[in-house]
Amino acid sequence: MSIFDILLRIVLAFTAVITFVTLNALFLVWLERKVSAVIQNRMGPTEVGPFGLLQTFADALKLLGKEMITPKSVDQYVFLLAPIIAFLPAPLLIAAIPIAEGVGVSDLNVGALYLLAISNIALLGILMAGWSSNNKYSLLGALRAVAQNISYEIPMLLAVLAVVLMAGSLKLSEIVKAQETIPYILLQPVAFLIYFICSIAESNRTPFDLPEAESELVAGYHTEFTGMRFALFFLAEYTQVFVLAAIVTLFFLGGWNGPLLHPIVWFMLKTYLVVFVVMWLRWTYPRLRSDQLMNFNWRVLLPLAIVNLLVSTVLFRGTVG
Amino acid sequence: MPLEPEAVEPVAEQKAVYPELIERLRKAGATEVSSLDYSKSGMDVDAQVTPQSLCAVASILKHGHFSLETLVGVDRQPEFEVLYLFKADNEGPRVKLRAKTDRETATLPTLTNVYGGADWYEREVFDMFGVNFIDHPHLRPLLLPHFTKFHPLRKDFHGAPIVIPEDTVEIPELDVQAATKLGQSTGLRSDFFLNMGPQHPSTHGVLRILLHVEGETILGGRCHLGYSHRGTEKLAEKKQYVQFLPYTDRMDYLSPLNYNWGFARLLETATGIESTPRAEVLRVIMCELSRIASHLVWLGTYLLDLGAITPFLYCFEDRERILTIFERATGQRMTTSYIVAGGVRNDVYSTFSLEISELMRDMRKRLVEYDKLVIGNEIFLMRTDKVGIISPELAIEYGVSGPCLRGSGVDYDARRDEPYCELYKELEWKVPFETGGDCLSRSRVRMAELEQSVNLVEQALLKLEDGPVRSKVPKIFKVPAGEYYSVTEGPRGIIGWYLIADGSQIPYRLKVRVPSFANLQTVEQLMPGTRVADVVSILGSLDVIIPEIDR
Amino acid sequence: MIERGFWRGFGSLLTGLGVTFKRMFGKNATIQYPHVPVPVSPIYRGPVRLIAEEVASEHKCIGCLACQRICPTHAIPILTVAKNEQNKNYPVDFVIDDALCCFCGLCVDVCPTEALEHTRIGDMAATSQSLLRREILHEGAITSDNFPTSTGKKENKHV
Repeated sequence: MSIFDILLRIVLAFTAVITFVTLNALFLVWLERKVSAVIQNRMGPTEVGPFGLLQTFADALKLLGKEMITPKSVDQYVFLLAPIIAFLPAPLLIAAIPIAEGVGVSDLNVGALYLLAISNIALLGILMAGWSSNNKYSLLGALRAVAQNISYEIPMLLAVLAVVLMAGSLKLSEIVKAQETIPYILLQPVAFLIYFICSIAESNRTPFDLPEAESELVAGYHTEFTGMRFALFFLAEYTQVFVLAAIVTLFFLGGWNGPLLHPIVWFMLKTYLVVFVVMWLRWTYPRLRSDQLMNFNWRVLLPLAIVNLLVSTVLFRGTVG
Repeated sequence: MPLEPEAVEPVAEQKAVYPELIERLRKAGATEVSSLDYSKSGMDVDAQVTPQSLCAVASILKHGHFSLETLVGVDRQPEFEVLYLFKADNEGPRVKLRAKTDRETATLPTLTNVYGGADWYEREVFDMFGVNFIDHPHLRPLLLPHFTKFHPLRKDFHGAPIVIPEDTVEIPELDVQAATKLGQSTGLRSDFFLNMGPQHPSTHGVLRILLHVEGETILGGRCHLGYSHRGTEKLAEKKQYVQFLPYTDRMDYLSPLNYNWGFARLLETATGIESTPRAEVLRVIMCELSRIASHLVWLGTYLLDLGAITPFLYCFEDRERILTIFERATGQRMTTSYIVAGGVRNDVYSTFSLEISELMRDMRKRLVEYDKLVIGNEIFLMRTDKVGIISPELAIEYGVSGPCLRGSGVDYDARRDEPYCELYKELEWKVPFETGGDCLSRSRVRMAELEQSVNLVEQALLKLEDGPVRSKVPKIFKVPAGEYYSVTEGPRGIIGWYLIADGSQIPYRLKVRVPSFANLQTVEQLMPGTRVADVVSILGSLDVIIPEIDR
Repeated sequence: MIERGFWRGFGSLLTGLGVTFKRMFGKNATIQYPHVPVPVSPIYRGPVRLIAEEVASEHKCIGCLACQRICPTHAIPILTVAKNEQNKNYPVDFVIDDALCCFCGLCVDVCPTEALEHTRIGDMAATSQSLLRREILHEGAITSDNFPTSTGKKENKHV
């Protein structure tokens, strides 16, 4: 393979990933608006394009055209860097997710570890945003985000570990292959619940949306951001939702395994179903308080995750390995 | 009218004079103690106090579990007078204390040591009349900007420009001190101050709370009001009684009808005009609908404060149906100007009863749904249970009223305990109350009230009989000279109107006692030790309407 | 009091999901305004108008100024009156400022000859305050075509 080929591949992969991230976010924003509308007996966007599908494109264009305001008293460089760092993991994560057997940018040997590790880079962006904004609400939002994400990381990893233990591999395609006969949601329901709750908390969505609790902290860490910088946070958030749904699909719902339909269709169906459930939750529940959030994590989820890991070690390790 | 003497006399007999109370007030130093005719003035006991005896007399009332209803400042020209209105529980008397001070010195002792709830009321009087209250812990203007030098409700005030001085600081030192002082009980220290509002999503209007926080824990907080101060009380002194009607709509944007009724009842008490039977039924129906609409908005916005957006839309959908009925019956959705002295302004349309009974049927189903979606929800319970507890003692001391009072286990509802509408006695309903005193109890009281209001409306519809909707009212509307007080129960609590009339077409002084004022005042006591998220929860559960407080 | 417990709490969360799920199949509450007009109540208190009369001196309005006197917000800035041959008053200049008007309807109520009435325009909107100052004596029937509304034409033919 010549150096030219490699370059071409990189450019192609890069373009594909960025396009997917953008389109997916635009679609998810539209979906969220429609889901909320359906739940609330409204109509949602209807004016631009069929079913208002192009509404989010119009919004994105508007955001692109907006002036990017940098408040006088912010920490200039950190403020500029924050949205970029928050957005950075989005393409990196998408790149590592296999959509079907052999379809995807790269199927790493340590895929599971990579996904969980990279997704936390966004946290740094959030902290930088909150710190540099020189706004008390932003700061409180960032503090909440950091505390919440770091704590929920632990039971989440333990839950994933139980799955990895059963599959015997960190490679995502191997994990999916191990589920050909029976998806892990049936074998590991507790791990599924723990992972699902934690990943909602990781992506800062209701009922765990404390970092951007609009009725308490106005908009949390992105209060001071405008235009495209704000859009980057938005893109990152929705990509994270997609990634969380994709991981749930890969780890627990059997990935692209399924009868009749094409694997890619199966994968997308499952993923967007999970996304729908996440949205459904958001439009149903109020949010927790910060101390209750912590209590729930340390007193309920963590012990449960440890017990689950121990039990699955005893039950499954002997048979599989 | 031949029926009138018979109708009045039993009331006059029934109404007790309170010799024991009068005697005790006299002993404590009150002069000129006399009893008043409740049916004519709305008050039972009237006592003049000297500045020296004010606190002693108030202590007597405090021991008798009187709650401080309001303070009314009056410019008697030349001297100032401050009226203190106290109300005992349920059947008990309403006492008016009068304290005079001359124009030059304009000082009175503070009542805050006896009644904590006098705090804001005294600040308002200080604002409006320039009466100094000696030893008041935080005597700063409440509704006006802190740098103003004039006192608008003085009779010799005819307008002045507001000049913002160059050296105005964002957070005056006094506020910082006050917020810090409130936080001393928590034993923590911090230099972090957070301005919540005036533009904040969950302060329900333009309220600013200066929070003193350590991390997420609140050490203390101080409310700042007056961002939507319109000077309604001063306006009232320039308008005829008839002309003042549209202003009553604009006190509280969620329940204008209840304010219409309050004002109409004041004029009816003062002039002896009586409304017609059909009008009474219509008033009950409309006001209960208004209460339902108001509580629905509370439910929606409270859940919005707690982070759930969907119930808000559901509640507004239901409220929309009620507002449509208002529009068809009164001509406007929110600024109804419907209930006037002597009845209501116009009769309702033909399908009125039918539409409402259908709506009420749907409403019952919806209430069950809200109960499932909201009140039973575990996260909702976590956010409200044992949060922001108002003890019954605190509630009485601060003059808390309405669902907030009943959530604290005090069973008082003006609809039942003040004889302002016979119909409420005839209909079958009960006053819901809870003993917890926390946000959850207040919420549950409101949910139960929604159900009771549906009950009331359904029963009242059956009582709707043909007849005139407005009795004869003189063309030139005058109120005989005197002082009158009237109380009605709004969705948020007691709406009281204090009128000093001089016999002309224009009020000499009109004071509105708004429920949110007293309810919000407790927030400063509830905040220390809670978290930032709890402030939102507490504020929402008090269901305050800031324009009502600011007037 | 509500019994609190793990299973009750878990159940309540599922119940909540059930409620919103059921609502997904409910009827839409949306009215597609401004594509679809919003119905206005037949007794709606919209902007006040004077009932038109061919001959000004025979006008229904007798120029008693009662409306101007009762208006709480002084929204009738100009009301000049002349006398005809029969010594009867009639208006020659009648201006209402809708920017000041609070739509309380006291003027309509107080009018002894019922010369004033409310229109049913519920979506008033104008680009400038001066557009809302209307000479109502000669304007004829107001519709949303010649009145500044959010759905009708924007320009105003009046004072």
